[in-house]
Amino acid sequence: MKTFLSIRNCLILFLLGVAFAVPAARADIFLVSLNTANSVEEFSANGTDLGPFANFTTGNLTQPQGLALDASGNLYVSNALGNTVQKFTLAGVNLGVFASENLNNPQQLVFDGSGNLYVPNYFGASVQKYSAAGNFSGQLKLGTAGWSAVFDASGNLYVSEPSANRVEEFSSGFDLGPFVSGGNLSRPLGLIFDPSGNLLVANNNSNQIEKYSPTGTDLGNLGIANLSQPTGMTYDSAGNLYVCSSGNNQIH
Amino acid sequence: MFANTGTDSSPASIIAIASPNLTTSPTDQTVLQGDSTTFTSAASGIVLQYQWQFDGANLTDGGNISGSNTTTLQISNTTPDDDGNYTVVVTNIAGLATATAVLTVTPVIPPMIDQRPHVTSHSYTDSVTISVEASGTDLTYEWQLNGANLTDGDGISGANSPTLTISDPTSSDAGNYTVVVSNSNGSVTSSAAPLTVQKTGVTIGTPKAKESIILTASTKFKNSSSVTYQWLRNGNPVKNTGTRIKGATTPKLTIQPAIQADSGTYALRVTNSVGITTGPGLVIIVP
Repeated sequence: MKTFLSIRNCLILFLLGVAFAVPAARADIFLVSLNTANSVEEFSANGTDLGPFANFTTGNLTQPQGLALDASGNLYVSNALGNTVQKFTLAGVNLGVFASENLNNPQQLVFDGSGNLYVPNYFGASVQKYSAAGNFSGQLKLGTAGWSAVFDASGNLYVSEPSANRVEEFSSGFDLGPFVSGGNLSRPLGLIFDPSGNLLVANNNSNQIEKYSPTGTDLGNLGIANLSQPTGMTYDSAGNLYVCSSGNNQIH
Repeated sequence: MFANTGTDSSPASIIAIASPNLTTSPTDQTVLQGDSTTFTSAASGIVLQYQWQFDGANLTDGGNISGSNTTTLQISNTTPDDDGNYTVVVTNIAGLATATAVLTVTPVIPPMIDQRPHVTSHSYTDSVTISVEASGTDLTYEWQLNGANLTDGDGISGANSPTLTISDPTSSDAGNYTVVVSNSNGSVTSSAAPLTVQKTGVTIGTPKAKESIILTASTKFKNSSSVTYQWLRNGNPVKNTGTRIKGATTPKLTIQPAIQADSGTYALRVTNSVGITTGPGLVIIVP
């Protein structure tokens, strides 16, 4: 159990961006998937573009969308156009295709505490599940297209469905129904839990990040200026939130 | 705004990778020369690489170094040359973390005999002591008789100390005594101290006349210049008294005239640089 929790905390830290210990002296770098540039770009702690971590030439990237790290520090990138998930070492070595079976415009990526990778399909209205070895091991059915998936501290999975303005909740593979639906949701894409367990949702159409309590109460938006069509989000090790602003090609 | 991602790039997803965080830093170590030591570190972070440095230069495994690319650096068989700063450098794609600790190796001075073993005798006792004086770090002693290690017991004590004591020596205790003085940096064997044990060899003459007692030792000893004599009566030293008792510390004891109080068991104790011997007792009765 202890090992499970440790791995889980690690995954939450790196995949969901929830910061637990926040030593101020640590620096972070950032990897950002640039969908129309066919690259994963590396940025320094002060926002300097350090160049591509991988691109179409070096990593077979075609409209890269989701990014995730496994417990061993390997990077996974979903190719929305290529219908694959590519695997890289953090040293930049391309380890090839990790998964391709049943992928249809794969979006964001997330690992569970056991090392299984979950991949929402934008086409096909489902979330695909792959073992740590990359073998397809089942899927969760969605009503509409899926975009982002995140786990809460209890291991429940939340999936954004942008065309339905809905965030669906799953527990151990069972569909619990909508966690939130309608209201201020406006083409919800990126999902992330804040350190307090509130769910942040990137509203792609209303250009804001909406915050929901663990019980689904709308706590309002974060009021971030100059966001344009927000997509993915992460926390750094100091607990700062970063948001991809796809409409104006910025990170906030 | 944190960063621009470039025209028509459409950032879709972002992840943060933190630089290493040292959770356990190495601590200063002080060890005796020849001992082994370890420096331990631990760090959190993803895809970490460890590199230990000595005074700023990267270490590699080999010689007395191992674990130079792991959390724990091991240094075996330390020498004073290993004194210095040991730094662990933990790196990943996002950066590095370092911590330094100091190793101090206390030299082990090899053993040296400062004064060769010599026999120290106490007059009027039956024990013999043999002492050595040596210098060095953390010395151990091993006394030997004719090359064979001695152990405490059966009249022997101090077999592993600077001073060996032989109580009531017998002929089997005679021979060459050496001591091996050792520490972790070497050992040295002393020159030999010979011990001769003579329980017999002293004869005592018969009184020449009833009115006087004249006792004469006929034994000859080597190194006669260092020989001392003491006549004993009933185990107690006889003292010269004016002109009546003379030669109490010479081979020839003269008591003249003898008185009744002179009655007793007479013996001669002879001591030289290698031992003590006592002649057989002779009962003399003065009427």
